[in-house]
Amino acid sequence: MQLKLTSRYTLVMAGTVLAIVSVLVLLFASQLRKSGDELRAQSTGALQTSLSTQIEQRGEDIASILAERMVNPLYTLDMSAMREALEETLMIDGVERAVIVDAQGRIVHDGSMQVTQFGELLANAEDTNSNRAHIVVPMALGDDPLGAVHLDMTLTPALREGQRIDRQLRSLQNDHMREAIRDVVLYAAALFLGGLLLAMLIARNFARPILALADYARAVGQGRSEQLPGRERSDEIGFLAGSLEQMSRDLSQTSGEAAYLAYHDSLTRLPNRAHLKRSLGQAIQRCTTEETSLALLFIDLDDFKKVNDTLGHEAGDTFLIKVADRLSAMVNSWNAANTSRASLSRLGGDEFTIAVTQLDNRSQAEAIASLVIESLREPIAVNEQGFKIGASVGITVCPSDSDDLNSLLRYADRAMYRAKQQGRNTFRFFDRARDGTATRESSLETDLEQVLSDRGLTLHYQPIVNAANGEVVAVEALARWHHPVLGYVQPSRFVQLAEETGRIEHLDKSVISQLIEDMALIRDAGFATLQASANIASMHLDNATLITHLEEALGRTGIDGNLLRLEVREKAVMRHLEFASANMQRLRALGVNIWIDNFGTRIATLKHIDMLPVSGIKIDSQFIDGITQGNNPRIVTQAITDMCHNMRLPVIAEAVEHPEQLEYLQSIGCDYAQGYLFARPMPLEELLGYLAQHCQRDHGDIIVLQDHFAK
Amino acid sequence: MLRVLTALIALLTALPCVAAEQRVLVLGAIHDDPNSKYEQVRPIADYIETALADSGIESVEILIVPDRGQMVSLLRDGRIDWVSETPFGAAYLKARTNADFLARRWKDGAASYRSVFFARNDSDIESVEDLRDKIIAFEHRNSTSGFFLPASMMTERQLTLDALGTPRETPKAETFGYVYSGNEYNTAMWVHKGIAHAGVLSDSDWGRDDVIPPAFRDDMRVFETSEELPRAVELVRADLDPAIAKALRQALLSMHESDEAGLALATYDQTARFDLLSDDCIDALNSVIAQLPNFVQQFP
Repeated sequence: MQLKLTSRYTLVMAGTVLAIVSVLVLLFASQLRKSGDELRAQSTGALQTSLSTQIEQRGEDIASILAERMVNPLYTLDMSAMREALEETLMIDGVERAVIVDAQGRIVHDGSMQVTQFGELLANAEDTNSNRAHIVVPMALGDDPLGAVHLDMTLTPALREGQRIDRQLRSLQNDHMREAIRDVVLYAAALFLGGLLLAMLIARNFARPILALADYARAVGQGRSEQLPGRERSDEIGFLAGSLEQMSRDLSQTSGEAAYLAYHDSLTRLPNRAHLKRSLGQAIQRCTTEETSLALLFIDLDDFKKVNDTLGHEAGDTFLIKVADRLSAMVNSWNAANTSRASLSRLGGDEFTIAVTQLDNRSQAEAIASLVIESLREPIAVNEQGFKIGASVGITVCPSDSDDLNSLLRYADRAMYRAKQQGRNTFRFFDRARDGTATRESSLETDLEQVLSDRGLTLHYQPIVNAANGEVVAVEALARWHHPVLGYVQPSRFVQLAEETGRIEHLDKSVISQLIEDMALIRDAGFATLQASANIASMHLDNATLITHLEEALGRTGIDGNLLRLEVREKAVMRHLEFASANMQRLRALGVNIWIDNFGTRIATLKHIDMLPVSGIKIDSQFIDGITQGNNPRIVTQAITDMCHNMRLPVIAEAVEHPEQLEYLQSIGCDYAQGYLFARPMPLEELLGYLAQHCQRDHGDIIVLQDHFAK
Repeated sequence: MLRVLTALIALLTALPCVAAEQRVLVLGAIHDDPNSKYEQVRPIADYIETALADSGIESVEILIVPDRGQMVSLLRDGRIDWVSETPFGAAYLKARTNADFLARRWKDGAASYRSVFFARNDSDIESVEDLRDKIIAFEHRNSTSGFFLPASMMTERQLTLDALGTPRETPKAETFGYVYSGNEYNTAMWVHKGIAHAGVLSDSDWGRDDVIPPAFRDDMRVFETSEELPRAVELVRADLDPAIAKALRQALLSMHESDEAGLALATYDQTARFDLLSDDCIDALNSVIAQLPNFVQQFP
């Protein structure tokens, strides 16, 4: 049971007072007993001495009379007279022994009939009984010593009397002790109660400001602002109040930061899509009310994939930050020099926008687009390596093109698409005639339809390794689309397009078919136990045909369902949990493993995870990225790992690029990892080469010992 | 004490009548404690008073005197009629007053007695003669067995006795030291504890455990004995009316047959009976009388 602080303090104080009082009582009792014993011993001793003196005095009187009477008998050696006198003397109460000795100390008579000790020296016959008073009265005839009377008086009565008095005194002393101890115990009890009361008062006095501070903390936690109690105090309470105040300030700062992050891109610190939509919405309103116009520039970097592929995600991020810096600098100098206001946002990936309000004319938009292209013309250095990329910019103008926010975004995008088509590193204004029907999406949509039908998507494979020892345990298939015009199309983009245009199931089927065929090839190459995974976007749909398709593919190739992992995005699963769950069950029946991808972004998922037939969890890459930057991502990563382990689910960390990340993942017991640190996604042929080079080609575990693992 | 005084007064008032007809018989005794002696003799006096009522004796009075000299004079004066004595005392009174022996008294239940000389077992004394330069403990100068008999024996043998005040003293050279112990117990103690070389007691005392503890007796031995004498003798003054003397003798001789006399006899020194003095007894007494002048001369 957890006691309140006040109760604990009171208990401790009460215990202390009790201990002190007990010790005092014991000490007092012991002292009382000791002094009583001493007094008693003295009294008894004095009494015994007095009684003994009396007895001795009496003995001296008896002996003196006897000695006087016995002068003549001793002189004449009248044994009968001596015997008679000694017999009489021995009859006297208290006389233990009466002996007449001659001048040499030899016994003449001891009052007995036979006087067996006659002639012996009395000293020899002496016994040493301490309970006797020994009295000697000399006898003389004139000046001639004749002998002496020796008389022993028993002191036993004196001792007995002493003992009797001692018993009485002891009984008195005990009564006195009892009374005294009773009084002392009463006083002690009063003292204890007083102490207890005092302790309780002190404890309450202590606790009151603490409780007030607790109320304050609760109020602050609930967002209410309250008067801080105890701030004026100079003691520990005041110190605590100060700390609370500081904490409250830090807290509001943190929540401000959270709000900031909601509207800003965490990588570049630029306003994000949400921010853009909010501010653009307001700007559009002003356009219509104030009859001004605004231009929206959609910027897409050319060949950004090259940077990512060459240097990895992190370098890609650094690259993006530098791009953002250049664009910001350009925007700032624009704003400094013009009446129109330009504001930069990042939509995601390599897509930026610039909204220009209070636009005077189109040429201003043109000018700023040119400045964008110009600012990115110079190579950007990342990892001491200069990259020269370009940017394609699409421009739309409000309200002449549209006064609808989403339309504006779409039009700008289409214009950018046309700029890309028409040679890159340039800008185009939205042209309803050109962009109105042959839109970028419709074009991409058509192209996607085409590529799915033609099986034009290729799968690249990234090894997944055991985080502890580097064994390759699986590979993840990543769909790649090389567009003849757009070049590398981001998977996020075409997946989103497929979802929006109802082709996602088709996409998934296509990927699964390709994957299972590739798996057969991998198996045939000698890596029969290697698992392979693919991302499935349509798990949440009622798509029995996907599962049938998968089953057929497995049957056709003879691949064990166990070797197949399907990764589903956390978000998608949770949106239609019932369908997803049913599909998953059916897949599990085929032996297929289901992993949750991008895990950790939705806390609500946690409670559903153990209801789903999930084989493992892949932690969202943002947390892995963050490992090198701060504590919070680490804490989230560790929390997810621990939680999954508690549910007996293995964990994969993706986008692992730094040894530091691996080290940390190892330290928290993360099971698997994938990322540039180990290997990039690679085409199948390359993968086979990779496996052949690094792995044992057998039917057991496939082992690749990376440099990062102890050999 | 009161009764003693009344007896004395009665005696004084009765004196003028002696010549005429005797109505009072006076029993005399020598003792230094009249009170205790009176109690001892009163029962027999009462008995005799009754027994002699027919002889004209109306009362038997008791007169106790401290020594023999006074007894002699009172016997001579006719103021004491009847006395009981040890053989030595009887012989002495006979010699001095011509009193008549009347009967033998079995004092302490004994008809006669003698003196025994004893010494420690570990001493080399075998006879009285061995006591030269040594000390013998006598009892008392009035004691027959404790003094007269042994002292007489020794003077008869021409041994020179030397009277000593205490046993601490040393006898003159070639003499036989003697000292009075005062009582039988002292005699026995002195000999046993080596204070005196030898001692003398009556044969009856020698056998009494209250006088000599048996343990003491085992340590000592008798080396000589005296001739035998009657235990005690009753005398009457020479001029007592023979009829009264006869009646008294008769009463005494039959006492042990009388039921009424039991208490009187027992009280009177545990007397067993009275009987007639035999010729041997009379001879022995006469022998004592014969020794008396010499004895008295030697032991004044």
